[in-house]
Amino acid sequence: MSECIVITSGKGGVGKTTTTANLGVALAMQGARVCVVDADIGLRNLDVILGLENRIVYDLVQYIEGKCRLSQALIRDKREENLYLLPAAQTREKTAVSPYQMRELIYELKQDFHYILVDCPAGIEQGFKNAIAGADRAIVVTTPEMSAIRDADRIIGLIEAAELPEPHLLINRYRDGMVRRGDMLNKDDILEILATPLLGVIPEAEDIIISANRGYPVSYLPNSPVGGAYRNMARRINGDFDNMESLNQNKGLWNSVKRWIGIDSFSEVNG
Amino acid sequence: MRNTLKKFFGATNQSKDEAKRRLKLLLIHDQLDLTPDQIENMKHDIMGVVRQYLVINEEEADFRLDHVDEHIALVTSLPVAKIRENNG
Repeated sequence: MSECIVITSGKGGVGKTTTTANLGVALAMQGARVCVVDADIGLRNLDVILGLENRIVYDLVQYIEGKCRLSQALIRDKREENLYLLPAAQTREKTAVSPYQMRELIYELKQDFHYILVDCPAGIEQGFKNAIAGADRAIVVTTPEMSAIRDADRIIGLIEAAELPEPHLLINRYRDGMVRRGDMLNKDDILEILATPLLGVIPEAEDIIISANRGYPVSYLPNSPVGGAYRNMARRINGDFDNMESLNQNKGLWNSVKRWIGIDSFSEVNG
Repeated sequence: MRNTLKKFFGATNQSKDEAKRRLKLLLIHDQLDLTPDQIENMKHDIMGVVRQYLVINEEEADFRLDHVDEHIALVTSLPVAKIRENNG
């Protein structure tokens, strides 16, 4: 059975592309055949985060316009043979593709992949509509900031309106020190405001910047705590979203954060 | 955390240098809207023309797009092994 998951946020710069890349890598490492699709036509970046920017010959728009075969547009990851990238066009506009064409494309990809992860552009216009068109469910990425949470709320409403199942929330750039000082909204605050089940929490980490510099997602790094957090999240996706309900009930902030980050080794690394 | 990455990649090569190198190349390609395939084809065609006049040491040929001052330049270095006989 195949599933198409769109990674969206409303606000830009909260980590959609990094999330898509790392979940894609982690799911592929766990044995699934994965295609990550860059739906940000005109501003592609998923190729850069994956370090595949020099391998692009054809793109999503060229495939949709019949200028190449799907197999020609797909780029196999150089490290993980189960992982493929379908890059966006860089010099076209969002209107180059329609929601109908996206649904057709996702249907095609489902013949060959277990998971299709769609990296949604920021905003709520045509690019967003295209990105959710073929999706079976959504992951909403937010950060513990006012503006990101507000936009996440708007996006959650639009996902409901599009009659997709209830999305899951990924809280990115979580700064435990600030949370403990009471200077940052904590996980439970955010969940209370957005009333959306949690997929996981990713701590703010230098690893993410370094790995973007290298084009080498942290999910590949066996000893990276953040990589571990992504791998745990991928396991939850690979299992059943519904099984997470019990975990969502957990009390005790730091313990539950540690559980969601998925690393008891986190404290060892920092201290 | 950083040590994990450093160990993994080797400490000498700073990641920001890699980011800068990748970005420069990326921006050139974005501005020209040329695929790696097209650049490879152009290289092939240019070499074809040069080959009519010169014998080039193709192993050592360097062929790349780069920033020179404010402009994008096609920078080539084609070491000449010898001049073809029968020229002219």
